[in-house]
Amino acid sequence: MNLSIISIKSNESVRETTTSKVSIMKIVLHVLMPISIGIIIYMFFRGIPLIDPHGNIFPIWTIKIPELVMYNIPDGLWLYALLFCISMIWAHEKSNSHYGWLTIILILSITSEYLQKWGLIPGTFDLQDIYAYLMATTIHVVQQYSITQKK
Amino acid sequence: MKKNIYSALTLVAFALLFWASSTPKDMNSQLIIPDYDFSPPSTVEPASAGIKMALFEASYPGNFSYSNKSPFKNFRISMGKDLEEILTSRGYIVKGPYDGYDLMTYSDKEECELGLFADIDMNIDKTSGGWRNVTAAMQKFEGTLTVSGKITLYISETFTKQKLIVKSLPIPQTDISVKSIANYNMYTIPNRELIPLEDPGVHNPIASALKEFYQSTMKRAWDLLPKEDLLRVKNQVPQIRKEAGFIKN
Repeated sequence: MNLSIISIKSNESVRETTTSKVSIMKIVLHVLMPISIGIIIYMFFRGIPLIDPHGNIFPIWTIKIPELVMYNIPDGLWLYALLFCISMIWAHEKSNSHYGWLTIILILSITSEYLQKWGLIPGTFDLQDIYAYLMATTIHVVQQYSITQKK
Repeated sequence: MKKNIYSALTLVAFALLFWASSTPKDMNSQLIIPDYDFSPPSTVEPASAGIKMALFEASYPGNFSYSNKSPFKNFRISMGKDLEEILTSRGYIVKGPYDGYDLMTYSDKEECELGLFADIDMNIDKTSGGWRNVTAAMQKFEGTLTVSGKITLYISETFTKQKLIVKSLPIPQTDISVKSIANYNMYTIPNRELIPLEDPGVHNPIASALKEFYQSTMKRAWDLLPKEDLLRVKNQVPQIRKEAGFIKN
């Protein structure tokens, strides 16, 4: 009897460990990695004014890279990581609240670009950023769909 | 409820990350080519002045290192176009513009008594600053440049190239602060004596300074080309040609 209880507990523990490993992997792959790529692009090609306002250290390279890579891809990666975080919090469940949050975040991202255009918040309006946001959201929605299908 | 709070906190955290790392898209990262354009203040009836003028492209005489680089190249090209516009508005008949005197045919020389030449004598000197280290191997160009010089307009008899009118328009000495946007590898800078004109942080302030005095210079060029002055020198042309042997008695 005691042995069987121990065995069940042990199985639960293994399942929990496996689940947490999968979650960590997901966080690394879908949150930390996109953000890191974005930060690397900033470090190498754009600079980080908050840390190095005079550009003495960053950007490390000054070679010309496509503006899509320099400006738009980091924004898309940032939104992708955020959407994935939200979906993880909601355990990828099919609920109106979960989808509501994803929709609000997409709307806020696009609105922020237009607020920049109208000079209400600092920044530079770029239509390509909106395309990057839409692309990130599309990828996330497709991925979300495949995860919910597996459940 | 808990999930909503976590979602809100995550959104705030990401928004902060976005704000902290954001840099404005540097609109100065593009080379801005100003629109050097002068509109003559008045226009008379075309060809009413009765003088045929050959127009030669404005040029940088000597060895001005940046003559073929923007914005100096654009400045020169625009000046040629606007001089043509000025001559036409003054009622002269214009032939050309010719890239050089040697490209003018004999019949054109015979037809046009006078030729208008424009020499742009431009200097750009570094008055302070220069290349400074950013890291061990990377450098930025930062400092003050002074642009000065003069534009010489001269009207010559077309066969002999004898100068009949020479007018100098000084380019007002202008100090321009520049700072390169890019960092340059100090081992690959081709010539440290030259300023990196291809860098928007250097190019754009110079381009806008040139634009400032372009209008005033062209206005003076307009004032210097009245019909009365040119009619007077046109009357000297037969005598000059005769003395030079181009007209036989």
